[in-house]
Amino acid sequence: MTPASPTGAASRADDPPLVEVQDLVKRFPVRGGMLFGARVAEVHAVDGVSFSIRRRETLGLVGESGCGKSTLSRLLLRLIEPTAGRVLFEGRDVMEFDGVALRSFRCEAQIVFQDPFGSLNPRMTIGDIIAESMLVNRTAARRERVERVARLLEQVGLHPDHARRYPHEFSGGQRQRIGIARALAIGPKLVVCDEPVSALDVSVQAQIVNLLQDLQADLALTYLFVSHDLGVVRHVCDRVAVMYLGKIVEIGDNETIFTRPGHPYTEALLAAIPEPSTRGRRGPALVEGDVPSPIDPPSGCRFHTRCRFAEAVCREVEPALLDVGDGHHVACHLHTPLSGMQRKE
Amino acid sequence: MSFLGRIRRNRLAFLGAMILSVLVAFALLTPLVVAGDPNLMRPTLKSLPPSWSYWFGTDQLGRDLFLRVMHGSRLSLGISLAVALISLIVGTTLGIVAGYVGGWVDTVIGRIVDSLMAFPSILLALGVMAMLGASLENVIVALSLVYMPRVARVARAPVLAERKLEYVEAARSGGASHARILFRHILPNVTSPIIVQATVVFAYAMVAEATLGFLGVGVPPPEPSWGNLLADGRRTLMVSPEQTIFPALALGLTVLGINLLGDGLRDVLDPRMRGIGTNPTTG
Repeated sequence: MTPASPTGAASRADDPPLVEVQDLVKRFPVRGGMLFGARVAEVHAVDGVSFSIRRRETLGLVGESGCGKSTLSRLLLRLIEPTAGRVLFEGRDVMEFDGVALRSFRCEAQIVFQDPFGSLNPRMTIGDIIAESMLVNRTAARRERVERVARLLEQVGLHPDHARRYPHEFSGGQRQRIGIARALAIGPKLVVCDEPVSALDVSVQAQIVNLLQDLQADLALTYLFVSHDLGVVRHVCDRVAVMYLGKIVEIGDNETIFTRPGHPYTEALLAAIPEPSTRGRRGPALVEGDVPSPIDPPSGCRFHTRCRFAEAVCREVEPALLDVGDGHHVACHLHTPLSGMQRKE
Repeated sequence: MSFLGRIRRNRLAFLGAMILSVLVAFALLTPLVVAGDPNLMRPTLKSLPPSWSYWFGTDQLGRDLFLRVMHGSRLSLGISLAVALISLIVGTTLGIVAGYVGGWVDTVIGRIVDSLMAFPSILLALGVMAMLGASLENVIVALSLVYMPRVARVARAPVLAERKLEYVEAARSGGASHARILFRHILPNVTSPIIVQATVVFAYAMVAEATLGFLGVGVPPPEPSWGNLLADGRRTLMVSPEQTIFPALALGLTVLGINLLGDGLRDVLDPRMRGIGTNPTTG
């Protein structure tokens, strides 16, 4: 896989973004007790996240399991309601949509899921699954729907006759193609890809990634590409955002993130990418231990419990996401004048 | 393969379906083909053994027992079917709404279901019958109240699992309404256990109806429900046991048939069994 800007078609930084996320917060209540489930604690799944997605770019969203990637992607599509903050889609507040506006938003932002088995209703034919959104949004009459399903199936590399079959007749890779066809059925502008290849075999992963890239070029799509696989992210994404415990700790160009990471966490993630080597073991892992519980996240910088550069200030003051040049944003005291720390390497 | 074809391949289900078909055919055809009033008393023909003119013999009031059993099948099958259908519709709706909506709706429905299920079923049915009074409609109401919670509980549990699957989110993201998601997407995926439970309720209701009749609080006599026939037969059990045996046999056979069919349906309704025998697509 080569580190390159895959489409080259992404719009420039100064164009108005397709999606703008402002201080988005989502807390899930943890309930206990016998009868009515008193609220005993809160999971800070997404905690004050701001970023934007440019038109026709692929923004990668990476992080460990449980860091809030999936929650964030569902907030973006308003599949769940945020506790606070705003999502602007083409400048309009997604949270204020209702009725017709919400419907038309649903037509413009779609999702491809991780699990190729759970994401297709086993009791519906492929044709019905793909045509569902066209049916409920009344964007096409019956005959048109049938034709469009056939065309979509061809577009994702399947046969039009497959429309009459049921999901259990297909392999994981084929099911993911069906999921992609469903997402494209009503002509969205934004497609959230929630770990679209992590449940697939490596050989199939490459096919699906290539399919997604071809479709992006043909249909001028914008992707939010959620993944924990940095190899894939490096291959497909124009920009990358790194998440840790509900916060974005670093965001920047693909090239910058992978060659000059600014946050110790990003550095640790990159060091964990398995590389084929004949010269024995790599150096020691840069992070140890588990992610702290998002029910009671650490004070200050959330990464300080596992960071090898952590100092007193990191335990007390939460670092802001600051521009360190060329649209590269990092949330770390190593880069803020406040600490005056220098990097010792 | 078609639904009926798959039923036919399952031998036990087929046997159950055959038993039920024969009984239903008898129940429907008896009043048309066999003339005679099941309640007609003939004081000169009391407690006759089975013969060519009276296949099952006569009871102690001289009524034709064959006619009574056949007419009784109309009552028993009709009541149980009504109970099964009402429990199915009400129980399924309550159960899947509770499972899908969750929160206080789930809590309220859940507590009602739990408290109804806390009573032994016959005791609850007796209590309701005592409150409402003995009549055919009230038997149906009482038994539906007893068995609806069982269906509701069976319907709720799989909805909890299904609603978390990604196809539900996909439908929402496609713009589908909650009603559409619940009835078009989730319901078809949870029908198997519900249908099986409904056949169990069908069989239970038949026994429960007979029990109520036997205890004298079911369909009021002289209507020939199987429970009433058993109650009548009990009085002469030592002298002419056939007056008990024939209605008991009819009841037992019917319940057996329903249970066999229910077991078969559980296998047949699973779509993952559908592809068997054909080559799955690979790639």
